[in-house]
Amino acid sequence: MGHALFEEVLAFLSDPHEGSFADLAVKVFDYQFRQNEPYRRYCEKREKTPSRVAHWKEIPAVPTSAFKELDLLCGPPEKVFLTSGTTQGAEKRGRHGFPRLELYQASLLFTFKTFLLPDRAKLRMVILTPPPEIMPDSSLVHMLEVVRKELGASGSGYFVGEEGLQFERLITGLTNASETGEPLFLLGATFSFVHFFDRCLEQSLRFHLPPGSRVMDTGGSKGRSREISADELYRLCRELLGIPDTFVVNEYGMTEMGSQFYDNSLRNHVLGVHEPRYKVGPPWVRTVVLDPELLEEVPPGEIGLLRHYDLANAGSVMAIQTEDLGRRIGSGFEVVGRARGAEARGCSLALEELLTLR
Amino acid sequence: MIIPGAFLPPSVNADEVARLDFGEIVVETAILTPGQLEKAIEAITEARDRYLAHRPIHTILSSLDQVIALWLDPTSPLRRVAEEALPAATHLSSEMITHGLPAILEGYRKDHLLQVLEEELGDPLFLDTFRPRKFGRSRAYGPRLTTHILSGNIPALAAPSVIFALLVKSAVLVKSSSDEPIFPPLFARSIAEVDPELGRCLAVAWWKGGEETLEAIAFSRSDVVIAYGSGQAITSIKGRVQGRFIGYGHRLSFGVIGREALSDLEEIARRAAYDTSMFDQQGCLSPHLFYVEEGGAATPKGFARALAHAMDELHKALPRGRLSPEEASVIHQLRGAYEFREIAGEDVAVYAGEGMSWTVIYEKDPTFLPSCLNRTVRVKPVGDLGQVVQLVAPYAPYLSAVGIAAPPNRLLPLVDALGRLGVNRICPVGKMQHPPAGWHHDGRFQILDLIRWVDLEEDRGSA
Repeated sequence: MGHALFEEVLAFLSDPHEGSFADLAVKVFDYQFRQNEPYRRYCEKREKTPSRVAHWKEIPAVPTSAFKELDLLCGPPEKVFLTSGTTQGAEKRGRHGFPRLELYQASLLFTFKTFLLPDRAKLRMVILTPPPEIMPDSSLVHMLEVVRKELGASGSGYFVGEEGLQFERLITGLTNASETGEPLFLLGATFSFVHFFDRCLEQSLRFHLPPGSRVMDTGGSKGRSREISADELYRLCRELLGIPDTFVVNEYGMTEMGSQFYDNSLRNHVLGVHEPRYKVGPPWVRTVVLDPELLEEVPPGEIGLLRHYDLANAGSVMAIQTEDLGRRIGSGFEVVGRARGAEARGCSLALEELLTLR
Repeated sequence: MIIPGAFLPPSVNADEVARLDFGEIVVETAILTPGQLEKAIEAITEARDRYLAHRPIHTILSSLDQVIALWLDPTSPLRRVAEEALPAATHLSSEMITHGLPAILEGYRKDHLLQVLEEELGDPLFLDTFRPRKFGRSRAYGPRLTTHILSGNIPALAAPSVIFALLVKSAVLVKSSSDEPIFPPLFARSIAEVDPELGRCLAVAWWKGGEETLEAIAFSRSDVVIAYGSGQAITSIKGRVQGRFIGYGHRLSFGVIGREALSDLEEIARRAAYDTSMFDQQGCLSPHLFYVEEGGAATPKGFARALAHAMDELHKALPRGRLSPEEASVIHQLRGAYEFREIAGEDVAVYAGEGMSWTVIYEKDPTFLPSCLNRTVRVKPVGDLGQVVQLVAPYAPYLSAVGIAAPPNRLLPLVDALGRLGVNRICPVGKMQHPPAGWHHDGRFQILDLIRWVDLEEDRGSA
């Protein structure tokens, strides 16, 4: 990346009070237009060239599906993440590379600390995913590894191996913490929590983790475990771990985006702010909610497709059109569902049914 | 607007009501207890025994013709209610409903029904009395009760189902789809209006799909159960039906354009656009894809462009209906993926209507792919028409109709191969969505599958 621009973006990520998102966004677009050839052609087709884009909302957004088809990069990547294989198996995996991983890291740590560790510097982390050696391409696993290294107190580690969840080790770890009084931070995919809780229920196990303990879950349970609602997850964390609702924070992110969003509940609790729970991101991300058909902004509070503009994506494409449905709340938004895998109505063959044939 | 969702015998007093909310339209329908369903079935089967079982077929045909005439009259009150209410439930546009409803129903006028009876039975009077055959005499008896489990994608799907059941003098129980509970009760009312006796043999109810208690009652009383829906739904119902079962599961259709047809590019594109756009591609007869033969006056890609133009023109007269966020998102993501593939140098092209109104995707790779529908259609080239058979073979169990534009000498070999594969209907491009009344839906019979034959061999005294 142009050295000057990189420094400018990194400076903004390190101290968001400096500079303005709007100015930087347009500069990043200009850079991406010049350096990311497929993206340039995509923009040219729409007649959205830097001279014609005055506001970041006019920056053409790339649908997440595009990341399955080709590399969308402004330069050779230091690291490439792949989306997880979907239930459809044969489908291609999306890939997103970072020419400057430092941007990804800076964004990650700032936002993570803000929403998950506003009250302390480090915590012992109990990570419910496989370690990077087993899943080297996963952006989630990479994220947790960075977080573990920088913010994990000693004894932090992974509790999922090749064979799956290491249940006994987990039980031991949780029991010890209950005895020593050291708060724990459990992080992982939502479905891993479901598996863990189901086994606890089978074996009538409950823990009373010390105050300050917290949970970060992500990804949802659909397709990988029985589905549970957010409320059910809070209930299980409360009853089986002794962790209060406000300390259960959901992360919303994706392979195609460098930055992440978190529930505001823990941060608000620590700061004494009273607000409904919703998702908030870092100051270098903007999210708009669009009418699914017209792709125009809907009135605040109405449901639509989420589109994110993320400066941490300066090395690839900053404007991402997701398949996620949500609505604006307060200074952030709520994710309502995924708009994927539409079923045909009636007698014309359902896409999903057909794809399972192949 | 509130529309009644049930059509029940007067003796059935269902007090519990369900409201199916479609925004501007609310369908208020009875929630039946098992006892009430039994009562309804009793009433209609008794009425059938009294009024229908011995009625001459010609009188039934007359009444049904009057019913269809009612529906073909744009000023008739029931038709107007249907036109106002159906867009909300089906998500199809008003224009599509206004165009599509009569287009479907006019196929069931008396002449057409008579033709079906003659075609399948030889002599419609087999339904009235013992008539001579090659081996003595025979008579056809229809079921006492047929249960129809409907799907909701195409409006007026109830009509042919109910019509054929009445023709074979069966009492009819219809379970409306949650997606479209509007037309069936209106249709039943129109029948009752024209012919009160026929009306007494009908009941239309709604319950949540898979309500096993109610379905067990309906199925155990029925001689024939007819169901429309997903493969999963069909399998589930089939497993619970003791009598005869006719299931219409999900199906795929596609089109084939021979090189000769490309000489009149605009015309063939117009017809293909019509087939694709009718009912927003939601029917089992809707083409997912067009294979276009190379070597014609236009290239396959040229056809794709022409098809795009025709889709755009048609969209103005017959707009696409409402899309759910999921449906819209899938199209947007699909377009994006193909657009970037084109940028990456692949031989593909995307032609997209404003908003998500329609999408044509040209793709050189001939692999057959189902569409996400809502007027999303692929165009793929083939060197020769004959290559199509191999390409669609993996989907053989799901194939329904193929619209083909080719001269007779080249059509017939292709048709034979497709027929062997499992295709049930071949027709001209432009006619895919308008099958004649007597078409072999899934290769089956409309009348013969409902009846049983009784043979009478008489003493000739010649021995």
